[in-house]
Amino acid sequence: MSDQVEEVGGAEALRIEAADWLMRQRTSDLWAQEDQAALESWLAKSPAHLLAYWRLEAAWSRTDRLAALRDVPQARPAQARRKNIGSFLTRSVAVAACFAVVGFLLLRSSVPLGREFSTSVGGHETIRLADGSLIELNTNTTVHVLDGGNGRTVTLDKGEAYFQIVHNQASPFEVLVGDRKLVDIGTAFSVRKETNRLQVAIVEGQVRFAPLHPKDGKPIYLSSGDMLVASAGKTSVTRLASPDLKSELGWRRGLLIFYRKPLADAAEEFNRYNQQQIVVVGEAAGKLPVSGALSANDPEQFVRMARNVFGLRVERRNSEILISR
Amino acid sequence: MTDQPPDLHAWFVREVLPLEAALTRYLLRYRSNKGDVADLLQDIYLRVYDSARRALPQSTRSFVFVTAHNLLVDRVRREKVIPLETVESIEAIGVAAEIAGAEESLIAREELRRVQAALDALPPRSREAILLRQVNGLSRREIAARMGIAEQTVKWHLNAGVRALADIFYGNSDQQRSKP
Repeated sequence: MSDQVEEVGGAEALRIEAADWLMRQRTSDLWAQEDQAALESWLAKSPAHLLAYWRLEAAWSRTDRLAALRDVPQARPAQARRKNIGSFLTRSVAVAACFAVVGFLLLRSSVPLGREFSTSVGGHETIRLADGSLIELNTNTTVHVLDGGNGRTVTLDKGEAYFQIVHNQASPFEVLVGDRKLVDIGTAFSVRKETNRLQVAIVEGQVRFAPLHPKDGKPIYLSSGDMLVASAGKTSVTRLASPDLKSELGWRRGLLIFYRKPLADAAEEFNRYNQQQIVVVGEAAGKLPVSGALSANDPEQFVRMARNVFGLRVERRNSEILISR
Repeated sequence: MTDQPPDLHAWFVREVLPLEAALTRYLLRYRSNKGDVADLLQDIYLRVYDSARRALPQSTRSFVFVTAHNLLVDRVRREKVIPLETVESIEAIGVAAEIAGAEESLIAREELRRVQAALDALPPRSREAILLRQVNGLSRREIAARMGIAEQTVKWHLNAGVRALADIFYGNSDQQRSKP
């Protein structure tokens, strides 16, 4: 009985319906505001709708990673062809144009992301690219310089990096971050990627910030002094005063610069750079405003400040330092 | 996107969905019917979500499994189908849940490999349609033209494809385990 198609009902029927909404939203030529409104009202109808949709959306967005491979060169011989894929490919003569990319993608056991550069926690390194552009990697950061795009396409997989780009009108420099990309128009800028947040600060020149799929939204043009923050569904741009911009990029000099930053946030910032983690216990302590420039790799300095300036209690436990009132 | 607080969405994706494989294995012991398991999962997710709306649980893992356990016990009482003694203790569930947790942390490259392995396991037409979308950036209409089939058919391949992906990523799929 279990394999009968007619038996589909209940949760399975709901999954089909949710998949229909998701696929319409993600693959239509045109997805208007009315469509989005209709989707949202369907989602609002029942938590079951919402949860079924979230589940599929989460699975789908994992394939967004594939877009990062778009710049892979087309002509790469595929020797280790898998049987099932081979027949699938030969049948699909119509898709000859995308053979190389698709085939390449499926046939390789390891994915060709290009050259990898990374730093560990507390690390700080500068890479010079063939065209003279510089990429400065902050703590716990990974970038890939893709084989395609004249070595001018880079993915930021995690962490934070500062880009000083040698401009080339004919071959724009691209930074791919998740499902977004940044295209330089003569520039120095920093990009920081967190789990659910992306932050871009422009020091010099102009950058175009766009979704990887042109259909997913309009590009935003950023110029020097702009700071963009994108998180779940929301993107905002603020204009930074020059000192704020300096604080954002303090890490380039090994410094963390805070101005009236809540202690808990400051500790979190520190923790990006050190194995030894600082935990601020309690909301009251966490909200204390911190100002100053501290050395990123010296948690002791931070601890001294907490003890001497704020009179907080410090307790050490294995790799953690607990700070409380 | 929706009027839910955004962290509930993130929490569901980050902490609840990765438990689905272990949860499915657990449920399959009492319900051999796949559709039935989907219904049970839906009920569990609804209960978990309802409670998380008031406050996020301290340990999502044990909360989800306790919810599943209670749901099964409820059903046993109501339907008198499953002998009560087959519903195992929470301690035993805890072990299964720990194993699932080990699968959660994936670095980017492994993740990409896993996405590839999942694609390999899809029906060829679904796979082709998804790749044309996600690698080549084509719309549904363009995919139909490229594959030489009706747009409605593409729609179905995509629909089946994304559902199969979710089952492979989160559900109890042998495919997931057999590929390194």
